[in-house]
Amino acid sequence: MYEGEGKKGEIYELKAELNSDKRDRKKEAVKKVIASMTVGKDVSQLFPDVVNCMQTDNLELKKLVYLYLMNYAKTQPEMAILAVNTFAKDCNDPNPLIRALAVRTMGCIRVDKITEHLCEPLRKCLKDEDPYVRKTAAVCVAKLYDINQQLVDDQGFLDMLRDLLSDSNPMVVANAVAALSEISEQSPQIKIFDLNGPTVNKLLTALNECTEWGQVFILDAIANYAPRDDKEAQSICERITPRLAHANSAVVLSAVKVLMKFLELIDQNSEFAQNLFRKLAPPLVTLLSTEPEIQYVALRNINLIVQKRSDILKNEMKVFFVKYNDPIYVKLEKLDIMIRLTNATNIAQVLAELKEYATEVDVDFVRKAVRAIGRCAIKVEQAAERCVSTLIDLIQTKVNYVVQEAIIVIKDIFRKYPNKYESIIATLCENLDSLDEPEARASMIWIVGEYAERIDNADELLEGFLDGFKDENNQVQLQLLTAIVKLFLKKPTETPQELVTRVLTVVTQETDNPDLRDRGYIYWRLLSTDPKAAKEVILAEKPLISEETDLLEPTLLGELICHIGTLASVYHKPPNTFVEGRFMTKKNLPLRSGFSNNDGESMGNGAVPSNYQESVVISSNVGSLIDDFDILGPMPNAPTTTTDMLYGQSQQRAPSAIPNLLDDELSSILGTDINMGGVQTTPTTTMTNTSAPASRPTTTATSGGNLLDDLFGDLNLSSGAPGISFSSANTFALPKEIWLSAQKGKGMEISGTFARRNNQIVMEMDFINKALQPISDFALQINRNSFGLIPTQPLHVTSPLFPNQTVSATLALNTTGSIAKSDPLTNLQIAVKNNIDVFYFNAIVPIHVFFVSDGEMDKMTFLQTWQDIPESNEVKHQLQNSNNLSIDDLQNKLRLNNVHTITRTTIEQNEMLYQTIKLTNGIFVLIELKTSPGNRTIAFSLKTRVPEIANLIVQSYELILSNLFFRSGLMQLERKFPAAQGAIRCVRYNIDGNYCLTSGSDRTIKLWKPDSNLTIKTYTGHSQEVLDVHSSYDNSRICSGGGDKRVLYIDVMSGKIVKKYQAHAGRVQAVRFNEEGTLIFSASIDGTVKIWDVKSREYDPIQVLDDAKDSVTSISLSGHEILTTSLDQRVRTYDIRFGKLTEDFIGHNLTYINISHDQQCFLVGTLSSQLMLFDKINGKLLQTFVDYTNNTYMIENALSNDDQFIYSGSEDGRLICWNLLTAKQVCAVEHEANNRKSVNTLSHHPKEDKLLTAQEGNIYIWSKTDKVEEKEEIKKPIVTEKKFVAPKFVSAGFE
Amino acid sequence: MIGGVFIYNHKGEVLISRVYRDDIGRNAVDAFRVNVIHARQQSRFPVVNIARTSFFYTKRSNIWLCAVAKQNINAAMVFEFLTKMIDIMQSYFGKISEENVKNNFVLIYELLDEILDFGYPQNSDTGVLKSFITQQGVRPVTREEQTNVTSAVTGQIGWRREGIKYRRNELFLDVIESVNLLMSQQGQVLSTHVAGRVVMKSYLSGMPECKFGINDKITVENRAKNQTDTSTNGSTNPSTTTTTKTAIAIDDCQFHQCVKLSKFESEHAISFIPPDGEFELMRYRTTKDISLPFRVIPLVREIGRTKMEVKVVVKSNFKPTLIGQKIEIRIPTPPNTCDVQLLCMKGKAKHKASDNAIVWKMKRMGGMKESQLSAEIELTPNDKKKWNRPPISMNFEVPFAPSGFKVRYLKVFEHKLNYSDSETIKWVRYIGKSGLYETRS
Repeated sequence: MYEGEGKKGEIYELKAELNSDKRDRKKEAVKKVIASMTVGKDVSQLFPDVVNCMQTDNLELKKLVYLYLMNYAKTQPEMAILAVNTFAKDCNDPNPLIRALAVRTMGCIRVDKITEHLCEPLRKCLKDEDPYVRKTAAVCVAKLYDINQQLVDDQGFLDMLRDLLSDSNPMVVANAVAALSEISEQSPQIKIFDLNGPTVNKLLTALNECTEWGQVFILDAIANYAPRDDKEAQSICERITPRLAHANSAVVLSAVKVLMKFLELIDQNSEFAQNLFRKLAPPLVTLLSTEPEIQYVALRNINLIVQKRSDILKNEMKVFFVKYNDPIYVKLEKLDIMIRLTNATNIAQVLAELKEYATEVDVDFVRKAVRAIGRCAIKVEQAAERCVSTLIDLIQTKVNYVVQEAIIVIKDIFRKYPNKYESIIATLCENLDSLDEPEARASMIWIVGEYAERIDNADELLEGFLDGFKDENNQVQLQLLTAIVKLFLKKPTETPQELVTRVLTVVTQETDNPDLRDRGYIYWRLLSTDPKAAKEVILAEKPLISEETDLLEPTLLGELICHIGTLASVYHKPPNTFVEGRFMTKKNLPLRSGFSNNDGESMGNGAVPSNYQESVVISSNVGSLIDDFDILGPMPNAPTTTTDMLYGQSQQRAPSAIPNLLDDELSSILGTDINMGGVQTTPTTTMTNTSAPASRPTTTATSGGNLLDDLFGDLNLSSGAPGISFSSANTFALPKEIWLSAQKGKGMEISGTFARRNNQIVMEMDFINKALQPISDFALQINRNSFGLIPTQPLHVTSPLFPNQTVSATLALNTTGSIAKSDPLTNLQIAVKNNIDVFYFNAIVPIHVFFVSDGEMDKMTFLQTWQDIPESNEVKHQLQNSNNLSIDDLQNKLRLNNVHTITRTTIEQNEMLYQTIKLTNGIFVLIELKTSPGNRTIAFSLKTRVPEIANLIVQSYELILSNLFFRSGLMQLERKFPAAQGAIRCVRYNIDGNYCLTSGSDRTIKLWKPDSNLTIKTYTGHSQEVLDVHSSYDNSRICSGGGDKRVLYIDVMSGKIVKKYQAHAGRVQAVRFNEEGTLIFSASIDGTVKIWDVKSREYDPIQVLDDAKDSVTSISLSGHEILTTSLDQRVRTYDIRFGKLTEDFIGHNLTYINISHDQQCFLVGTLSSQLMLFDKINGKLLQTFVDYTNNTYMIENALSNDDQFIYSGSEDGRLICWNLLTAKQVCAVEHEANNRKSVNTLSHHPKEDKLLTAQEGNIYIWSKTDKVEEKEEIKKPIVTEKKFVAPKFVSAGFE
Repeated sequence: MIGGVFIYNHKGEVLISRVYRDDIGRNAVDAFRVNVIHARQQSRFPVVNIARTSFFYTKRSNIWLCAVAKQNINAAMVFEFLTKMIDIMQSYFGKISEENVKNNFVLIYELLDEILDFGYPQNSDTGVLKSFITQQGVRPVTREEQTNVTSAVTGQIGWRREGIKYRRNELFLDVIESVNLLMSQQGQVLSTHVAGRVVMKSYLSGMPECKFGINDKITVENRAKNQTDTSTNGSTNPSTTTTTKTAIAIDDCQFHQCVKLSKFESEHAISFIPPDGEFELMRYRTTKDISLPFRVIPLVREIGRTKMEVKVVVKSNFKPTLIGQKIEIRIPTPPNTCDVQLLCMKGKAKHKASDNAIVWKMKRMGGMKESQLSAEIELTPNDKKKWNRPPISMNFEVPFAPSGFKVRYLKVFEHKLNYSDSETIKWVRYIGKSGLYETRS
């Protein structure tokens, strides 16, 4: 209030003063007004009073009033009209100064109404007798044009302005030039300022006599003139050259601009041009003794000029030496130019200087100096060694930024001089840890990758970097990827397999950066299809690194040369990048053409000096990216054509005809052994999933693929996870392993396994095409082997096999082939041919496929044989019964694999089993198994006449037995992905199973589309970990509870928190919606269940169920009933309809409750490692499920949709499945090998046989395979003759 | 062109704001303040582009001068203009300070209105401006005077008005050279150049035309050639041989706008009509054959972490008959210096803690002499930061031109008033000064 009054008072006072009669007071008042105006105060209210003061003959006062007018006329256009009369009058004033002042001010008042009144006075002033008025009027035309172009056109002011070019007064000419230049720049379409010979002549004449500024205007205008021929250019140059001696640097630079531009038109070899070049240098050097700001402008321009014509200043190196007191911007620019001027003759001096600079204080400057040393090394070969040793000295200083900078340049030096200075790598590696800048890190990684073969612990170094991969800068990530792949290619044997896989997986699956991902895919594809090509591509020769670094691109340079002296030349950017709005005509250097002089022609139009054309210009700064580009070179040929060609081929050849393959060749070649082992197992799973979007050539192929789909409905084309596929086998079959990696198979990957189906040995194979072209014409042969395995029929693979397609093939084998002992015995040498090549690989046949079903013998024969085989042939072994299989299970399991139990007996509580095995070639193996109670080892002893196979049998026993622990059959991992929200506390399918919700320890809830690992939304609002979430029936709302004692009610679409309930006293362990989604039930550690009405506005619960004596751990709702479990060992059933509470005392701490789908039973999890199934009606214990671990955590459980199976997580990292009726474990799969972290949460798909689980931060989706059902059945057959007297010989020896 | 000119004090308050173009809004004033003056990190370039607006700035003793533009304007011109503006202001009211700017803001606005029109620099010659922009308020001006003013502002010879009369026609020529040197520790000359100025004070009547001759190599050679041409016809001139020896190679020279550049280019003759009073006739630069008047030989020894020993020897290297004056040598000391013991043979030496330097002053020193200073510097050990030894700098004045520059003649012709060249009194003086005269230590 007070303030306002004070202001008012001030203005009031001023008003009074302005209207004072005394001239001095008036003037003082106006001064005060202007002062207020300057600091931004609004004094526009005084407008009429100030305008009143305009009528004065005091020039100073008048000027002040005009100043005020210019400022406020726009805001008060009505009042401004008042001033028009005074302007008109002033324009007729006898004093030229006042006339000019009036014209000048009028143009600055940008009010339309005034501009109309302006025209007449302006016209008069343009023809004023006094040059001072004329020069002011000339500028006024430009002002007017800025306000109203049409008016200027209509009034013919442009022509009048053009006439002024011929004015007798040079300053009038200069201002007219300035005005015309501006107008023509604003509207390039109207050619009002087309220079021609005579006009240029006039301008050149005026140039000699006008002020320094006028000279700048004229020179800038002439720079836009295009001389007719070299003669004219030459004569203009001649007349302009004297300007180089002007004291004003702007004049000098503008003159340089004209000369540089016109020199393009003049024969470079002519004496004239050479002379001119010589004359250019001194004035440029002189500019360096001006004010630092001007020096800066000059240096930026010199930088351009040196790039264009390096020889102009080649002898002036010394002037660019940095002075101690130079401002930093001058220092940096000087340094830049120094490097450009460095050559073999002055390198010693320069290097000494640079060394000096590297000890300075300013970080930027030091960095640049260090970098400059490296650049010198690249530029001047003779000095490279000295530069490198200087750099090493600098690295020894251990000054962090110096070291980093040095490493960056050393990388470039390595590029330039390969195999010369690598001895210093060790020194570089010492500083690995201190590198914190992306560029330095990337450079170091590049060095490690490039010289992997010389660095012993390259893999360790790279692995170290890989650990923090996600936090790295993009540049570093790219470099790391390339380096690891390089390392792998260079040292395939020593490089840990998972390093490559890990980086490729991370890059392709967990990164959002398309560059990184694409590069990852390319490498992966290359590695998996054609390692040779990969080598060629990734380890390709690097293109030559250019001597000149960060040169401007020639056309840009040309354009900037046309802008010498201007801002564009300072920024080194074309004007349109920093000037707004206006249409800019792009300026280019003129091209010399049409000369009769042949010498001139041969100089190559003179525009570009020849040395620029030759050198491969690659800036060293982008050196790290080179690796990306060179891989583009040898990429596979155009995909369409290849496909066509292949089609043609496959049509010509009869697919059934198996070309006679290489019988002898094979065996001879196989001698040289291509041990595949498990090379490249891991990429396969991911590859098939992810590569689909990246493959372009498949477009034509997809139709064929679909067809195949129809034909082989069961073939898993895209989501095939070969590693885990379970075969519906009669015998146990190992999962498929990769026999031929895509890398060795030139894109074709074969994985397979052997199994026994219906008493026939079959070879089951998956062919995956990882190449970019279809593969066809498959054929297979097997070399002679120990068991005489040969295919019964030719291999039938649907061909062509399109890229990314997987085809399974089964090949029945019999053992009638010729026999040759192979080593190891079960080794099989296979040759596969396709249209690309013939591939050889080895596969180990698990011996149990050779077990035949008719291997039973009667007890006596068994006894006889046992005795016949000498003791020396007996092999003893301890088998681990890690699954604690009962003797029945053992027997069953082995029976399935054609291990026949002859008899079974119990001797001193030890169960004994006597078994026989018959191999395809008729060899019998006799086995004795002894189990003792409480002991998990099984004593195993074996006798056979062919001792070589003994160990194989032992192995197969171990395999068969251990395989039971991970009965992978029932549940198959479909997908796994990280949720990136810390440890996952809870996973939940929504009502229809299309989405799922997860909550994590990072306080977020995420909504997923589980089929595609897609996070749809992340919800926040909890302040601690979120323990449970549930979505409403219509998927529109989510409720959640967490460690922060809150219950949140969240809108799914917007993510907004609709309600926030704060009523629990402890953490909320479970939340549920009712069926209608109108109520939320929340259970808390505080021992209560609270019910919230989400429709109500109240923030109090509508009911509190506080019967529990301890923490309530879970809730389950079923129609009108609420079931809760509590750590007080009770299940409470609230019947809402009757208002009745039933308590069931269980006797164990309860963690989780689930109601069966038929509403008849409920299943509770306990902290004593058992799941209990109760009848809901009468509370009877129906079944107990054991053999899992649950002692600490709240492990959730689930029932399958048909209530046949029960699932639960386990604290040892497994997912367990029981048959509900038999309470037998049908499946137990580990989430991760060697990860025994607890699996707490799971959720069953509401419709399909799918399960969602989480272990630590990863989400797993499991699907059930039907195949296991039959296995269950197979398991059933009961072994005959249970009662059997043990043969005496076992325990008591012989009678 | 220039869209506006702002002047700020060190706090970033606007003292003067003059906007010439519509594309510069009031927010530009704030943009500069926020992004440059108040910026957390000092801007490292004299031109900054903020939101497509370029700000050109320079700082003079706490005062920021800033020119704003939105177009691709001639940057060199803007900075030239800013320096010119500073010159003008200085000649009007002395030192540029917040107080002076505040006190003269009306004058500054008036000047800004005159020297920039719609952002185009206009006549900015101080002399001319002073003739019609005054602080004395209204001056009764006759019509004749008015036209004089306007023709001076716009005329061909903007720097001189007609009808000047002196009783005694006198002119003074000062050849002032500053020697710039950068020498390495080992005494190797890294770079050296002389920036010379010829300052003339003319008190001549009428419109005199002057011709100025110097011992520039090219001119001398031209002349020698001409003379040998003539000598074939007539008598030989023995002096030519001697003059060529003393000729110097001027790398580059610049002239006051009164000098006819075209004539210099074609004939290498410096001819001009001088302004009245003092002005700078020419500037030149030479790099070759410079006789360095002094030589500084430093010897720095670090004894442990807390002690340093500095020994500096100065040698004068010119004719013993001449005397150098105002000699001052600055020897930088580390910032953590706590005590300095000084001993010098000649002059006075003092440690100036505020400047972090030892200042050694000698009033005069004859030619071919030598003097020495030794200092023991004690340091406080705690300083972590490395001390990058600034170079030792030196100031002096010697009564000769180190480049060897010589005025050969200056002829005056006045056709109307018809006083002869011999009637004018001419004085020539040579001063050699130090520019950046540094020796790395």
